[in-house]
Amino acid sequence: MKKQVIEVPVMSDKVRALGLPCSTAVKANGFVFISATPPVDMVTGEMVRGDIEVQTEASLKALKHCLEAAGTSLDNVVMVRIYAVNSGFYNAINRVYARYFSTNPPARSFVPVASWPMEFDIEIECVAVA
Amino acid sequence: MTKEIVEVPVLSAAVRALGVPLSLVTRAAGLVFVSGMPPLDLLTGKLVKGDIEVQTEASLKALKHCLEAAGTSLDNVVMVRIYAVNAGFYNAINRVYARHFPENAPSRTFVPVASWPMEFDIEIECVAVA
Repeated sequence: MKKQVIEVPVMSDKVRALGLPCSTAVKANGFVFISATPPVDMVTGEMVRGDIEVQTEASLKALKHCLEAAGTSLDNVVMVRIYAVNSGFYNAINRVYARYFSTNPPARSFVPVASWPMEFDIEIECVAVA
Repeated sequence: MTKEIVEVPVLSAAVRALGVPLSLVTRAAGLVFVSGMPPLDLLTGKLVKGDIEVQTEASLKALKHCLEAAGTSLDNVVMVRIYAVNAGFYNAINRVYARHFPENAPSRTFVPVASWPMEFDIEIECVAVA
């Protein structure tokens, strides 16, 4: 198998419980690809509610958790895509994001999206070096 | 290190005929990158019309065709991004998608978008191991 599906504690269970045809993290060719993470609590697997800063913090914590399960880290992230329902919160999102990527930040796209049929306002995906 | 452009039967010619400045598939450093595929007919290169399930099936078939032109396959896909005009169709899209990725599913992001100035409601892109 050229690719390896990574089991991520709590997250992978949640995705399976929802019956989603998706792996939280996949490793291949020296890279780790993390599915977009909404603000999910890494202990309970429940959606974290709150303002955009609370949600951004939770998404980034979840992303960090996925990266570490895959044997890598935030430092090794090369590309991030932020998907946000309200681009008016650009500055608020950046304030939280900058705490997680303070030096040598990865390449990034900020994507304003329509909305998901679920109660959250942000998702963050990334690609990292394994 | 250089990149290769992969020629996809029928579809690459359709893109050229429209004068759109893109390659459907590129390959570099052991990875294959496929442009967002709308629902295209593999024989005619024209848009497939129909409900979201018909369109999702057609997009995925076109994606498979592109991957095979590049010498790889759906099994080797590591990351997928689905772009959909109506997030209300999340479950319908997942039903079709799950048939094409029944096990070891790739990482994935579902992106609700505004809309394209063309008559389709979904595009699917991916990254695969070559």
